[in-house]
Amino acid sequence: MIGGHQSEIDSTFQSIRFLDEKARYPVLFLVVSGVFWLLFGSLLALMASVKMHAPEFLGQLSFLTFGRVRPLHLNTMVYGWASMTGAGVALWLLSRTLRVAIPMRPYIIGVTALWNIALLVGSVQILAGFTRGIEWLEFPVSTMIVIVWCILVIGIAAMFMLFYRNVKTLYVSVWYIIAAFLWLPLLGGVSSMPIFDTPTVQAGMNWWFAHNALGLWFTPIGLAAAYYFIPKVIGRPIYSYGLSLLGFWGLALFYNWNGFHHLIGSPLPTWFVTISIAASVMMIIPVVVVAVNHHMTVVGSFSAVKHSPTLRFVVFAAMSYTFVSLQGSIQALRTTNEIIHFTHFVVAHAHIGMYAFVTMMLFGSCYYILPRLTNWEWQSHKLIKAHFWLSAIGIILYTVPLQVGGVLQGLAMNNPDIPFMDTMNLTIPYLIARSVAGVLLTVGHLIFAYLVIRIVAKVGLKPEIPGVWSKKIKEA
Amino acid sequence: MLLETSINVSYGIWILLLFSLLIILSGIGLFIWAYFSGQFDDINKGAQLPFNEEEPAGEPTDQIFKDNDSKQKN
Amino acid sequence: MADNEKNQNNKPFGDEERKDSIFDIHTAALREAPLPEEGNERGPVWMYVVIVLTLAFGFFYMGRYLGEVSDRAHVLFTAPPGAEVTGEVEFDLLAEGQRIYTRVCQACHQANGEGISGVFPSLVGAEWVVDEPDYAVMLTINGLRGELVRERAVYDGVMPGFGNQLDDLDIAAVISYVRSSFGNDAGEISEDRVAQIRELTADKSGAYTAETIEEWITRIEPELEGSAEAVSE
Repeated sequence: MIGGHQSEIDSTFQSIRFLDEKARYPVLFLVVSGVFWLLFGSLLALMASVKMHAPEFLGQLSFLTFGRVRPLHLNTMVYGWASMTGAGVALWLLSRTLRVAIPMRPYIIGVTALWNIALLVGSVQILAGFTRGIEWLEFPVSTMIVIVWCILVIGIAAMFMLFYRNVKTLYVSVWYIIAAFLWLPLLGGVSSMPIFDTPTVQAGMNWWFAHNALGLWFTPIGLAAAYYFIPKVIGRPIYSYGLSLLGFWGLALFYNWNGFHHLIGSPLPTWFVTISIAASVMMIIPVVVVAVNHHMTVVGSFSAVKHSPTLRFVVFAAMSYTFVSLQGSIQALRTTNEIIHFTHFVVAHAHIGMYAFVTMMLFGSCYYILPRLTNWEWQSHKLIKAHFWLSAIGIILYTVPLQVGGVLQGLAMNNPDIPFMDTMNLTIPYLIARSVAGVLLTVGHLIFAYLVIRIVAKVGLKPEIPGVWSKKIKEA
Repeated sequence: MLLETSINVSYGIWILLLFSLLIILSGIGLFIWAYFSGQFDDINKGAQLPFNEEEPAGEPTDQIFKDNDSKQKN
Repeated sequence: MADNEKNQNNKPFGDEERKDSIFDIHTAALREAPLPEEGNERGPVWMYVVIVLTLAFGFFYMGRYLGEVSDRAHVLFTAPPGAEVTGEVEFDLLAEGQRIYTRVCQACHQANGEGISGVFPSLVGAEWVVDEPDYAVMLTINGLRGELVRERAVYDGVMPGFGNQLDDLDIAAVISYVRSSFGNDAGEISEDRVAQIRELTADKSGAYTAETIEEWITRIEPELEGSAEAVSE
């Protein structure tokens, strides 16, 4: 039953323990840096959220005003937490699925340090009021170029792994990750070019980049993790490998046109927007294929989901991916867009994508990867469960009220008889619910950070053999 | 209903178009490479790739909440 | 199979081997039993139906709403705003002036125009506003600082110049508003007058003081045409 290709993988130098040993420092550094920016970003998020319903809060200090805190929250979460941890998870997944140790380890550690410095400098610049004023690209170009360059170097390491791989067939996770490492430097490079000089074109570039950063960088990494961890944890091959490849090429074909649906009603040429809406709807194809594939793999293995911290997060994230993508396809249509555009609905939608999908997937991946990298156990199973429920309940409490409020806000704004102030005031209860949810999420992040610190510093309980290892694993 | 001016949105729009097509072409390029390098010859094999003799299919991993309940062996 | 031989060589961790013998046998049995036939499934029929329908919708939508393929800025197929704009909206100088006053002036000169004693002069019946509005235009453009002696009070504050923020029409509007509010009852002044003054004082940089504004007004007065008040038609 075990395929013949596995006879290729027999030397000690391809054993799981050996690969994880080599992956330890680069991946840990990326993940720990990511967790730091997660905490920093959460703090900024809380401030920004409270300011939405209590505008005077911390308004006396210029560097803590909404116009600086909110962009910095977005940028540290995207380029700090999600990108760094995502890159670490991607490298580890490549090492596992290609059966080759991570190369260029000193370089990866070096660029990670540089990446952290770039984020720090960029943060100070945004707080001091220097930004590009383009959503998702608020960091000054200098910071952005350094970050893109860091990802490019890590991408080169990924390409080396691809060329020196020890398996012939590429697993579907590899397709996603290789594509992500190709696409992000392209997106980042193009968006940093000083050629988008007219406002309309700049807006076009803005949403082309922002939507693609989610769809061609975070989504591939998230799906790669899902495609690896769901079969791995359940111990059951993916339902259909063929369909998983169909899902990948569907994403590659349809996703990168999606961004312009943010510009419905703008002076961007209509055919741009129309093609973008059609492409957004066509995203239903890869999404349904991925959803069917994941569902059919998980179905019947509920106990495995219950007993594994990784799978809890990953299954939650995979379900969120299906939900948020289908919602996005409907949102892109002109009729729906007329109501929800410029409302809090879109903010909530973005958070389902970046939190309920990407971040939950990264949490799940960390719960699997870190014990294997450190040879240590998680400090407390109770805290892991607490983290899961805080995050899951937090993000539901965040998005559901805000989307309801967003629709009401949109309907009110389309009604010329309602004064603008009333459309603002009616959203206040939903904004307060968001702040409450933000507190839950932040507490969850603090728990996660505590657990990560404990396992990385190797304090607390030391089992003779980490429970996470299978008995068959070879010593490194 | 129809807002039309004679202003052109500028050449930047063609650059966005160009890079969008480049991304699609990179996807198509990957597909062609995959096809000719025999990635699709044995499509069933791919599903087995996460597993090997160390962690074979059929054995769930990461069941740490369960270990906790039934007391770890060590 | 060669795999099995290798498996036996895999040393489990130390003495764990014996304890887990039952587990191992069980595992071995599991591995003999056929694993679920997975990895090459085709997926349910409804999924293919969804794929075909989505493709059909996408191509229909593109064909129906494509519009003109060019780089011209144009918006099609988007509904206009709910409220129809009917006729031309009449421009009301005083209403515009009130809006600007609230936004720009009110913080110092207060909502009732009386200012704050000792710092910000009152605009009620003020000579430079009501009788000789050229002063008001000049100091609104360039600002005013230093001591200002009036019958009822002495003020010592700073007023910044608004020449860069407000255009000629804005300044005409706000001064006309002040001249007809707070109990003042003087006429509107024209945009042209403001433009003239702005041109004649273009050399002046920084704020006036009570003395320099007098110097400047004597310099430019001969060149100003007509009276400050707009001729009402």
